[in-house]
Amino acid sequence: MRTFVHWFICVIACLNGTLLHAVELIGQPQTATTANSATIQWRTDVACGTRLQYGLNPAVLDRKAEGAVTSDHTIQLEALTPATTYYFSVGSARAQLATGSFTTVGGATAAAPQPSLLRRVLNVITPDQSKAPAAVPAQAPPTWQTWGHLDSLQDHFNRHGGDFSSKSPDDYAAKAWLFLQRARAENLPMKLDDTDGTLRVFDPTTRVFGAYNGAGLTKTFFKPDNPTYWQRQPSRVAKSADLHFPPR
Amino acid sequence: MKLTSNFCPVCGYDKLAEPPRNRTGGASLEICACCGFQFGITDDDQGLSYDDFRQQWITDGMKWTSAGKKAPKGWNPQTQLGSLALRATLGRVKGRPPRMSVMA
Repeated sequence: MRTFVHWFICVIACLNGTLLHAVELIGQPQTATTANSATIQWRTDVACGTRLQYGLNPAVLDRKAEGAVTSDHTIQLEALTPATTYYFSVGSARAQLATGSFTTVGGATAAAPQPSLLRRVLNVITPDQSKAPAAVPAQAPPTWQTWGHLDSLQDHFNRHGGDFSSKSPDDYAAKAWLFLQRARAENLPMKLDDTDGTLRVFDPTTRVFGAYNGAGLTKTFFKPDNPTYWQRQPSRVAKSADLHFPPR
Repeated sequence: MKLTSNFCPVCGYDKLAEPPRNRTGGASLEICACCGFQFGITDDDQGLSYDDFRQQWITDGMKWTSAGKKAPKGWNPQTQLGSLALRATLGRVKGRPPRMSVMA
């Protein structure tokens, strides 16, 4: 009987060591907020489920958001209340890896409500000539806030950084983000893939192409060689107003 | 052996962040960390087929290409290509590519 108990304890200890602690957080979760939304990113040493629980009380995280199985986790929260502190925990379905909090930007900068479909159609048909073009920020946020899969950035930079005379991966990522802001301000041609939320943007003048995920984070940025590359891109034509991710 | 849809159809690497193409054909634009094929660019812009690129990768010595990601521990390109061939065979047997199924 004693042998069996020892054996049983060993099995439990092994399971505890291999299963419960199999996933580890790399660094700390990073947050970026606007008045009505927040993006939370974190990395794990191995691919696992993406789960974030959040709420207004750290003891009662009563809301939940989930994503794909990956090691680079990103959750975008929408429809948040301005100037409000939210508490969250990140992890997978099996384990909670970290907790934290973020505060949304103050109410004065809250985003305007989405215009009606009729208003958006009218805007396209009769653009307001008196409206000044939206300002493009002069500087991009830190790379972790703009690039989708950070562990792929070096490869994209090595391959396409020369197209833009980029000096470093961060410089390349910043140019990709600024291109998106310019595209939104100047209404450059865009195509939105409703299947996975990928936004493709093209500037016919400079022949620059950028692709961004549903949270507005860059997937790739380059200059195509093929003259019909943009015409052959799938998805439906989109306008800046169709984009769900918040302006920076 | 666990099969996922996030595998590279060129070299068989099965830890891509996304499937190479979504269900409507849109490319992921991801660079395979193993062979370096970029879905939606190597094929759609440069005009290289999976078969041609694979042949070139094999000729070049089946090297791990990513500078940002390390090769998995015990990574073996021959085994990986073998599993790619197995997927192709299973796809032919079933009449469609295997998706998220667990094999014995």
